[in-house]
Amino acid sequence: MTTTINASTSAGLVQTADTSGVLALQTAGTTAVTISSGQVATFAQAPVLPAASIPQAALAANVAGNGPAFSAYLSANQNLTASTYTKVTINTKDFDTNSNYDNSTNYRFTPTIAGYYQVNVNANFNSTGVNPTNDITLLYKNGSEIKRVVGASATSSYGNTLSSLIYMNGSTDYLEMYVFYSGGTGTVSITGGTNYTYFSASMVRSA
Amino acid sequence: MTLYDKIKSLYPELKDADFMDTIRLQNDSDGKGDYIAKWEHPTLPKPTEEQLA
Repeated sequence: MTTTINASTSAGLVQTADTSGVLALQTAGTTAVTISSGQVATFAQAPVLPAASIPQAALAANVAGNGPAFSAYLSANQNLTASTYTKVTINTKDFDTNSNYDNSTNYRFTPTIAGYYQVNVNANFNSTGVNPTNDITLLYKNGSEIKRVVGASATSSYGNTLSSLIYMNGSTDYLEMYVFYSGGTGTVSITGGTNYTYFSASMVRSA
Repeated sequence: MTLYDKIKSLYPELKDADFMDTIRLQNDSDGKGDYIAKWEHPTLPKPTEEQLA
């Protein structure tokens, strides 16, 4: 049972009453909004709200504004082997809003909300006794390369930045950062430090 | 000696470019070391474990 208030197309305002405590607002005999006895309003169709009327704090987790975001960096130098694609052990978090970055075991970002993510990685190569001919920074998705940037070479220290927009399914998809160099004998490392080698991502659009 | 060094000693004719394209050596930083993730060289066969031991 329901108390109704109906804007009738023939009789104007029509009201029916009972003691259920439930109220239905109708137009042309069709319910548009039902309000339960517990004051919960249920809309028959999605409400049309004034622009900019929903504050950031009221957004659900699957809306980009409140989606996952993280930033992490390599804390100490990581030595590389020539001509070998090596995962960078980004091990220190600046922040990780949804606890989606593994900074201790697999060094990967596995967002639990499906959507499109802006991803940024930077590797600072540092070489001694060798001028690498190819310094490459790569982004791996689910264990395979999906993006790379090949940097300039023949310098002792420089950064190599990759930025891309990547779709993530919110369950099994994950991202990892790899690097590569080729060249003669010598020592090449990735420089540790919050401002040298880092990995970050944030959701910019829901799926 | 690294895996790269072993392969280079087996096949000195390999160029650096080969390791960017048809051959992929990889290290997942999981403590298991370097391994051959891909070997698609058009003429040279993938080394056996015995050759790399």
